[in-house]
Amino acid sequence: MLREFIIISIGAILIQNFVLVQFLGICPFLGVSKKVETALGMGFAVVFVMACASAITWAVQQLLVLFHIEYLQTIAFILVIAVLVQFVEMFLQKSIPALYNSLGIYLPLITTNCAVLGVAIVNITKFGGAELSFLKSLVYGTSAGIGFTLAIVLFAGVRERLESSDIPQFLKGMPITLITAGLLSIAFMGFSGLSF
Amino acid sequence: MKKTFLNGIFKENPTFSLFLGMCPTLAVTTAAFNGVGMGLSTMAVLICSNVFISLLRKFIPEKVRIAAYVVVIASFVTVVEMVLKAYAPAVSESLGLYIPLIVVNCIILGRAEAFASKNGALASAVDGLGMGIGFTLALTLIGSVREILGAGTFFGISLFGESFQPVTIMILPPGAFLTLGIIVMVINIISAKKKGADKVA
Amino acid sequence: MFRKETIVVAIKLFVITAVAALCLAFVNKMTAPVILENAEKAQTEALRAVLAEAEEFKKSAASFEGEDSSVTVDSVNIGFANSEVVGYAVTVTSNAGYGGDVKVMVGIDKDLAVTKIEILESSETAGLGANASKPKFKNQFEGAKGTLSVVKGAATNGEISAIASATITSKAVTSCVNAALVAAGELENSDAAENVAQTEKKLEEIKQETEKQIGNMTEGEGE
Repeated sequence: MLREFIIISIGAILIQNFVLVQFLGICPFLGVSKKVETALGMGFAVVFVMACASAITWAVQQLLVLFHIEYLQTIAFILVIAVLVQFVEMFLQKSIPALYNSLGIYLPLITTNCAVLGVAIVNITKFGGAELSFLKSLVYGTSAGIGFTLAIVLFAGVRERLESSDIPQFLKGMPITLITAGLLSIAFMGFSGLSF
Repeated sequence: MKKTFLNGIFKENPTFSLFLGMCPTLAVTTAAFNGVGMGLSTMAVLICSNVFISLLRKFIPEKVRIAAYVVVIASFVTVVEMVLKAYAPAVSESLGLYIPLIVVNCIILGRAEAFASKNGALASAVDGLGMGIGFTLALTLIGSVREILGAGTFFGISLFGESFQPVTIMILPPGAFLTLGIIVMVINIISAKKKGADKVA
Repeated sequence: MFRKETIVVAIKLFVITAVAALCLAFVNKMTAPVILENAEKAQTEALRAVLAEAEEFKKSAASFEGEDSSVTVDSVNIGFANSEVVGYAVTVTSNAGYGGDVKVMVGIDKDLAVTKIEILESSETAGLGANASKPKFKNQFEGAKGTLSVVKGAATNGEISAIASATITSKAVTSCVNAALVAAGELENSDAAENVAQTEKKLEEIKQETEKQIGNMTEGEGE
């Protein structure tokens, strides 16, 4: 059983990396990756929200199935995620101000991070009726968040170096950023050999 | 009105100049057909949600406007999802997970907040149409480039015959980043040249 | 004052959500039967494709459990022509694909040789694993018997040549075909016709049972 969890986790972090392979959460990946420090902040916020979202959307899905209204899935999940992000923000602000100060500005952005809704939907299609689906979803969600953090921090590291390098005029800004991301994605393809 | 329409296609093209809605742009463009499917689905949602939000802009309370927008958008996305499943199963099959994810496409929420909440229904519809066409064209362009290079086909029709060795990397994830990066570079070069020409004249 | 305002906001939001949910329920009601029909149509088309000989198909009631834990036999349809068994169409899912589950329908004739395979569902990488649905890979299975293994490069008898850079997908599909061959073999030995007879008997029993229940219910109302 532990082996299964480890497989799920490694799969989500490296092999099926959310950002570089599945293209979920590209907006923050390109937007908040200018500095390693901010990238780390965003990364942790995402891990936290994804773990919570996995747990709660699992429960919501049980309710939807119970009442046979699965077609309301998208609408229910996105609302739950929006409310969740709001609650997390308020909770952190009151009880752990230090963490709030470092994550604060990123939290509202997470609502429209498609990686969070993505993980919720993937959880349902992947583990839907399986045994231990709750734990699996939780592991998958957390790992996907860690994978996001890994990708964004690595990318920020490269971008910091790019700042001081001599780039051809036409490649400056977005083009070079995208090509760098492409190279990073090639690197992650190497992990496909890890598959079990 | 014409300006609003063209704005989305050229000057503020959601993909090539605003860099909005990157997830579907990169994820589904493994083939030109997917690009068209995703573009049109997004356009449908964009127009409907723009019109509705514009009509409801006096009713929706300021404080919870984002939540209200999200509900409107999510409903239209679900409608599109069900309609595609019923009447265009091939599209629904190839876009899969990325259809429900139209909800979190920043273009839609962005247009709701920036345009539809301040303008009338007709103008909002035109804005949605323009942005949608811009998005569809961009996705189709990326999809075409990737499909031609990566699979040697265009809309599924084989172009080069058996001897062509496809550049598989182009339809793999890295190819998405590389294609978009190079297209943006080409656009930069063209617009720089145009500016230069304007100066000389 | 603040309270009243909050309540108004909450009610407005609730109204929007309720209207949205109602509209969705309506659209769902319209599209759900079409979606179901599509799925059925796709199923029959796939059955026709893998076992062209058969004129009609009946679902077998038997269940199968293979040694390979990564694959499950979802269903077996027995193909008939002139009320004679001409082959089997076995639907198998493997969870060992690169992008998740791979669902394959395998057509098998009376000699326990594969007639054709069809990839029903997969989320394999476009350009690599997704090439499994191309004839170049699929056609290798035609006429195959026994247990197949995957090799890289050229294949000899009893071997399947893997798709370049997609060995995992190739293996998943091949293990599905192997499981299907085993299932068909079991059915063939256990006399398939009898099997169908059992299914029909079971169906008949269920039907009678429901009729009885309905009868009871109407009686109950009468009292």
